[in-house]
Amino acid sequence: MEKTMSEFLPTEAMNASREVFTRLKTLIGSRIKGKDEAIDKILICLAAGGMP
Amino acid sequence: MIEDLPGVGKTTLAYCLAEAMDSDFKRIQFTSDLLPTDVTGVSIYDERERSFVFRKGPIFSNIVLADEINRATPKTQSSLLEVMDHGRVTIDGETYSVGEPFIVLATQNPVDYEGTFPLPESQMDRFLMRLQMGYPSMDSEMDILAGENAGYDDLEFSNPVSRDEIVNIRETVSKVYLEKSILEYILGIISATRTESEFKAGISVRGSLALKNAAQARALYYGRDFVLPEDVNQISSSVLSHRLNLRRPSSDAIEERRLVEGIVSRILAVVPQPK
Repeated sequence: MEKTMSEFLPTEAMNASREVFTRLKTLIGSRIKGKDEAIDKILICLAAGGMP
Repeated sequence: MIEDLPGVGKTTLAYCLAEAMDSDFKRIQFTSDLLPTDVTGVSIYDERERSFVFRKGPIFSNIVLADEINRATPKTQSSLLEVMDHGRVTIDGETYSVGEPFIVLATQNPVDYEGTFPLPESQMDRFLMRLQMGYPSMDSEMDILAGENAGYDDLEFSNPVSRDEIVNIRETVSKVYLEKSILEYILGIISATRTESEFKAGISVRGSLALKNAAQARALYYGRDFVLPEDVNQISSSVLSHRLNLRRPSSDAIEERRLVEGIVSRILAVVPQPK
């Protein structure tokens, strides 16, 4: 993941989000091998909150 | 919606996501005899109380896996409509809220037609994205073959992410900045699907809101608090393709998916990106 750039949101919120995303990706990636794109997208879905 | 061939890890991915979060998780195996009340719950008469009491169904969880969703009848599939829209269920005039956070993951196999009921457009429109797994690379499959941790029966992660952390992330996503030019870019893509003659119908307003949300979430995922055109571009096919149907449908679901994705790619190549 890229370095956090924070202009519009508090740095703490950005850092907390990055930490959670990294943890989720590490946990899921420990079991699902070679499917980074699918993992990235499912985590984006989770963060987006399903449907508006 | 995770759509792919059998045995490529769709259900395992859903289990992993559920285990990576400290949350309630329920798996519902969709079959042709599954009833709406098997999903949402049912009111039963309590002799002692001398009144009807509501028994909550498996939908009352944080993560619900609707496995092989297209094996259930349209009536049962439709029982997910309200809950996917509003996070609540109305039964016998009473409304009940489901878990927070709430996410429905569904799997379906695009090849098997026998005994399946294709999801109606209104249902497909309620899934934020359609994802594919694909076959693993040779190296990855070798790791799977050599490893002892295949499958999901013994799955347990230490230090899972809490529900509050997910709720906070969702709140942060909604505050990720979108410049007007990005909104115009989203609108340009959406409009192009509505005028494309090969599609039966264009993307709904729900679909355009989904693209906006997903772009904000992608920006945050990659450590930014503002959306770039690439966030919209990179996520568009997954957010839009399952909402679009060809005017002249193909008899092969995989071929149809490929054709739709090809047209979406063509639209993305034509609609000018903001500088």
